[in-house]
Amino acid sequence: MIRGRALLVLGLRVLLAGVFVWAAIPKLLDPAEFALSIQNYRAVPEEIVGHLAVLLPVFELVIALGLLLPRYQRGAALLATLMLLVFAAAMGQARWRGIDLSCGCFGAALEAKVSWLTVARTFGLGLLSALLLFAAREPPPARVHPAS
Amino acid sequence: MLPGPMSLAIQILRICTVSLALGVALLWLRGIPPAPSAAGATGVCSVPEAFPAGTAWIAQDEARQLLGNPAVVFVDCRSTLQYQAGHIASALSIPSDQPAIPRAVERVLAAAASIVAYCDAHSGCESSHRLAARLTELGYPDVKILRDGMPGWLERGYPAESGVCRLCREDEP
Repeated sequence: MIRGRALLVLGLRVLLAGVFVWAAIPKLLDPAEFALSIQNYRAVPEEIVGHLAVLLPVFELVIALGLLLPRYQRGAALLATLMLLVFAAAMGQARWRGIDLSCGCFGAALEAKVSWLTVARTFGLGLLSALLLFAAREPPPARVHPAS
Repeated sequence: MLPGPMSLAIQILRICTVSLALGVALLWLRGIPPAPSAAGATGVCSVPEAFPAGTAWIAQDEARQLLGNPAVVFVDCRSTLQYQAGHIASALSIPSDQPAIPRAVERVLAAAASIVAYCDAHSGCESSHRLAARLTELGYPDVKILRDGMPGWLERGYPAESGVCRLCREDEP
């Protein structure tokens, strides 16, 4: 029988993994575009913008994979929480400084201006990740468990 | 099985390691995407790849010194509404979505030795680049883009005015 909590955890994992994959793909396809988005936040030094534009989407993709793997779900949830909170903070500071920019969250195809709504959305996703972190349980040890 | 917290740390370590390895591999394979703005630029205006490499910039203080020089024309690439709300003193308005440059404006531009284009820098200055490319194509020799655009100009308290651009109205057919 699937209990409510297990269902909640499963739902959160699938939802968050979906969001991360959805966000990573357009960035991977067009790193130059994403580099421009990052640049517009004016929050990181110019020298690392190009590297970030490649590393961030890869990180998002691996986190999505981790969320789907029971053995890595909690670690992935913690990283997702941190990442989303950092994104929310980056948008918040841009909004606060009155920088009018597109968020770059889901690539250029879904271009959205950063508003307090996008900040709240990102923060909300961060809270969901945190909820997952605390709701998820360690899976039982695998029967054939390679010593690592 | 390792105890809870330790296991969490190991999960994180592995996820980060895998990400970093894949990321570095991808960087190595595809190269680093070009930094969007020119090296050492303090500016807000970043240059997307697609724009011609020859785009020239002009700094705010330099542009300020050119203001009042009859051989230099300032061109506002923002929307007509934005222009009317406030623009660099004596600037002409050529909204980036305007299909044709009015003949009266063309005559002024043709008589100018240099053109300084500017926009709302916070949106990435794409409209300035489009206009600069268009003017360069039309054969105007010296087209520069104002770094930091209108916001930078206002921050420094340089001369600005509001109202319509009488010269810039589109030609009657």
